[in-house]
Amino acid sequence: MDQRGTVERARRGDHDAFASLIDVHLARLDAAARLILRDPELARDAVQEALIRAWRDLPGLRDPDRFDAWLHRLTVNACLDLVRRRRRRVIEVELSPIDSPAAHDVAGDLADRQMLEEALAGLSPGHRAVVALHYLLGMPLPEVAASLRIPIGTAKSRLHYALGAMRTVVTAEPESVPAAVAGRNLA
Amino acid sequence: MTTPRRFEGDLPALLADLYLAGMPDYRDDLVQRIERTPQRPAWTLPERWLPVELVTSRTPAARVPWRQIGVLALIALLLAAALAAYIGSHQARLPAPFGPAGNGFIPFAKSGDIYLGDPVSGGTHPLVTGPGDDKSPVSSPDGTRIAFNRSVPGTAADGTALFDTYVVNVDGSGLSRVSFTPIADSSRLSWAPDSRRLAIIQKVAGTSGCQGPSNCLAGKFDLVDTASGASQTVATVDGLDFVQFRPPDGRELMYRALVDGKWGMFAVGLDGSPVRTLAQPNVPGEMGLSFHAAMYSADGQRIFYEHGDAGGCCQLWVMNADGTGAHEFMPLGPAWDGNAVPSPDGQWVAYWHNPNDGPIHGISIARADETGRLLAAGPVLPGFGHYLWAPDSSKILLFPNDGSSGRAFLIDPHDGSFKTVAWDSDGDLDWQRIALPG
Repeated sequence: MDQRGTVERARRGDHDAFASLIDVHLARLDAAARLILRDPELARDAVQEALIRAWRDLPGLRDPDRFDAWLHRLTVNACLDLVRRRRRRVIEVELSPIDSPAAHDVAGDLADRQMLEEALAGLSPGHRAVVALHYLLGMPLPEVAASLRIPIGTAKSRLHYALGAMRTVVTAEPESVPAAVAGRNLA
Repeated sequence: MTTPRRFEGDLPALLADLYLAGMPDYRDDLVQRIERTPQRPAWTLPERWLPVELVTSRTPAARVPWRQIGVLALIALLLAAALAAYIGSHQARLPAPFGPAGNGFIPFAKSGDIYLGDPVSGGTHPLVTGPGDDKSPVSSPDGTRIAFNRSVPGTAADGTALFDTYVVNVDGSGLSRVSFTPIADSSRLSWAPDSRRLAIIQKVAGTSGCQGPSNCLAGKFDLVDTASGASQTVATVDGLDFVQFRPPDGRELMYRALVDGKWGMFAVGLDGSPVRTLAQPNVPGEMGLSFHAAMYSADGQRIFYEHGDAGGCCQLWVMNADGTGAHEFMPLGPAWDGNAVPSPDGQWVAYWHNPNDGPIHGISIARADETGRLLAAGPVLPGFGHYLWAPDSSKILLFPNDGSSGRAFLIDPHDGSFKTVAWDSDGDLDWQRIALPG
């Protein structure tokens, strides 16, 4: 059965149908949540909260074809809500010096991944949410803006900033690293 | 090292490589948590339908020492035998909450008092009299009690009068008030199938974007236990103005509601099962008669309702109880049709039929299976009327709401002939159900 049919069944209270939807989406939602929150336990909490809410509110979903976008929005908003609730607990992230030898000595994908992770760590959760929705969950930018309830210009601006930060780190252009990237609080 | 040019193109794969890690280990736990979580109804109100148990629960018996069991059992046996003999000779059986039943009295209001009329002999006797202004008697499904409203000073927020709700046994005993606070005259009062609880729908401020008509308000659905006086708000829903319990057991109910300012029709199990959409909410809110006063067929398998769409309102339509198979009921050309009332025996449907949008006519009767001819029955009225079937389906009781008569009509559904009852009354009528002979 196609996803629309599965969503319809879940909307009518079919637990098995919803479990199959979980199987399709859970790994990617968990990945997005870990990207945004940078904490596996928090990510787990956020994804569970989002999926339970999705199940509870599914009968209210008007268009089953919008299920993916709706689920992505619930997940990202659950992440950001978690950040807001934990705002008092400031997380300090110490970045490796961008001109450290390690950043340049390790070639290939492994180096890219490490540096990318470092770059993402330097972004705010709001910026990471845009990255997660657009690049990890494949959501078009206008939908990203709608999901985060921000103007499309703000979404573009955040994405541009995030890309610049990541690109700078990954492509080893030390002098152009935005100041905000170099060790910020994440919450 | 990644170059700036290919960086953006590689980013999805890089992120997937960095963060995608297979199925998380909390998947099974999550699925189990969801299985324990009820779903919310098909709209975005913060309220939801609460589970309701319409079957009276029994209190577990206290544990008794074994030594006393023998003595108590013997006593109980003797008492039970005596009680059975007494009940067998004195107590009448009660009718089931749905389906055919015997014809009892016709409760009616007149000049602020409640009476019972005998449709056979024409005799009447007062049930509740006194200084109170009483109206709207409604007989319980088992025929043992009458609920009615008594006016109290003041005006409701919607400008209508205020009432307290009372219940009285059909022999006049046991008069008791069951509403803690007065309800508005615009409220709708009906019995739940257990003949113990009253379903009361009061209008409250809604959240829908619907503008203008009063039915854009929300309906707060309370179940009031007439035995204990306890009230439970089951749901508050935009546009809710009636609920119909589904035969044969009443464990599900059907209603109309506004979703984003548009009418749709829904069903919900009272055990907390999810809301089902019977008709998608796509009828503009200003078409306030759409889905109005929908009724289940006697067996609960079909729903008769007024259908309206952007082209106008209303024609009588019918659908299966699961929302499938919707179609116009016996289309006979341009007409205004609505207010279907199926007969308790499942054979007939009486509805208001006004062909060619001409002067108001009156009731027409058709076979519920849509075969045969349409029969115009009863008087032609200048206005509208309130009508219901006799419990045994042998008559239709019609009271004109247009002031053309102070007496109700009894209509023969087989040939359309009619006569008036022997007493004058105000407009609110019902018909007591009693057990069928034998």
